[in-house]
Amino acid sequence: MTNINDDQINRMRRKSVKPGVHIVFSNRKKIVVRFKTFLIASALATGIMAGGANGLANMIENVKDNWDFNSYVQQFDDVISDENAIYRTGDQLQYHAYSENFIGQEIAMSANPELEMYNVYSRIKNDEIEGYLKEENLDRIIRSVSIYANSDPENEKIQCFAGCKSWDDFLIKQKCVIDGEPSSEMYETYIRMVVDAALKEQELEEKFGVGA
Amino acid sequence: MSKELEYVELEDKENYVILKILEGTNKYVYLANIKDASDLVIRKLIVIDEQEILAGLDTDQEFNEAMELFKKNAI
Repeated sequence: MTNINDDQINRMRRKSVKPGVHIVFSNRKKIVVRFKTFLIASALATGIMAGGANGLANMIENVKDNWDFNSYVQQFDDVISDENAIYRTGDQLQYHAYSENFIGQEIAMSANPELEMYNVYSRIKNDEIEGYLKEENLDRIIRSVSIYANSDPENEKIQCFAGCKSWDDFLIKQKCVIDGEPSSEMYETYIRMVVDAALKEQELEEKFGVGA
Repeated sequence: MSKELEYVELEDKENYVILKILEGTNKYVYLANIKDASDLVIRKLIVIDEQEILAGLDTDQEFNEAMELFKKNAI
């Protein structure tokens, strides 16, 4: 699975900056592979999510087992049609006025548990968050995190989520937040390259039976 | 439906698939190791004696510029 860190960017720099190294480009080979387009989210996303979840696991040892995330999401669905509704969300949260802003906070917290909303997030098991962060929920996720970003303009990390336009966009920005480099354009560029590579790697894997 | 991909063997004897070829101040080739998608390399495409050559980048600054070029074209 693809995991990404600064060491890999440094490795890329070391392998790229090699004055005097020459390879004849005409020696390149061509292959024909079956075209598949849907694997970016599943292959790359799983890698990124796995990295994030592993890091978070150490921080949620005391998670409450009785938290029902499916119920939580269902309540959120209900709120979309009734923004003034108030629901009981859990034995420790007591009553909370649900809003897209609130679930946006929790999604953002899944990438950045060190913020003040950690106490809320810690009641949600990481595998449930991971299960929710799927492409099929993309519209809601983007809307939620964008609203949350707008509600907290001073928070640099949360601002990373503003303006997400696609699932890839969301994953890239989340990965930046997880690794604490939300403003690193270099990092984001590198991840975009890995997105490209992950797609081609999957195609090659079908052909050669190789891959990460 | 099928798709054609190109790959090249570099000096480390590993095969790298060609992700993109972009032109800025120079023309750069972005490559990924077939066995490891996170193993990326950038090379400069130059012509010597009418032969296309993948050349190692000269400086860290050039690496930064090539990364910036990718970013501008990828987003």
